Amino acid sequence: MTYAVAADNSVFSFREIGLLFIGIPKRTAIPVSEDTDLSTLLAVLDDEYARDILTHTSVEPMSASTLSERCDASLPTIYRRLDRLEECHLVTEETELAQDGNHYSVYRANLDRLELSLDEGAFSVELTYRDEDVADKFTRMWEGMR
Amino acid sequence: MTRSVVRLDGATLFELLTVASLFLVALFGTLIAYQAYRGYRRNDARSMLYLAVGLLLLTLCPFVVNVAVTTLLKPEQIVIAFLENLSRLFGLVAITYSLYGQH
Repeated sequence: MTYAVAADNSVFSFREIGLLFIGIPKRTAIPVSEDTDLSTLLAVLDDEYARDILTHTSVEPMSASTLSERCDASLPTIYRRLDRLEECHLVTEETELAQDGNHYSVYRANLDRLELSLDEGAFSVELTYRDEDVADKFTRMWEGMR
Repeated sequence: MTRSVVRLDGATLFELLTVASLFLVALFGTLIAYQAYRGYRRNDARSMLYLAVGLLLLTLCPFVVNVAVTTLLKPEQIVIAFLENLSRLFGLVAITYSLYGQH
């Protein structure tokens, strides 16, 4: 096997940008006030179906119709809860390819820990999200750049 | 006609290092392209597909083109440099399209 040594191989920047993406820390703690306030969060969690969705999807990602069966609720009910959970980033949506070639969405619980503390005159809430897949994070950041 | 072709059995240290570093470029580029492709499959985001293609054209392809063309055709070095840069150019075009294109 032979190989010609070229003088220039100067295009490295995109590889380095990529490495930045991969080196991102895995757990992210976000103060709730940023995009979800405490009352919204508690209202979302004060719902049996919403909590059912979280417990079921914490085991494995599920489609809305599977959730509808497992939680014994109608599909519109499930979608309404999923929307509210997604707004608070408590579940994440992923697209999977079915065997017939169609795309469908599965949902995964994204909540790791909810910490509510009362400290001289103010509540502070901290949400810790679960590990997010590098590919999903990469996608989110790239889409955010567009 | 001068040609600086490196045979792997009689290469100097720097020639080997250059080949090794280009191989590493291809390896890391492919790894990131793979994550971008997974992002495309998982999130149905087409921009990630173009990003993956762009990264492959930018990193893996020049390496493969160099090895393949040098081994099979043994052309002048400038021809290989041109083909490599052509691949990189298409890679950057793909990434640009990934960022700015409507899809």
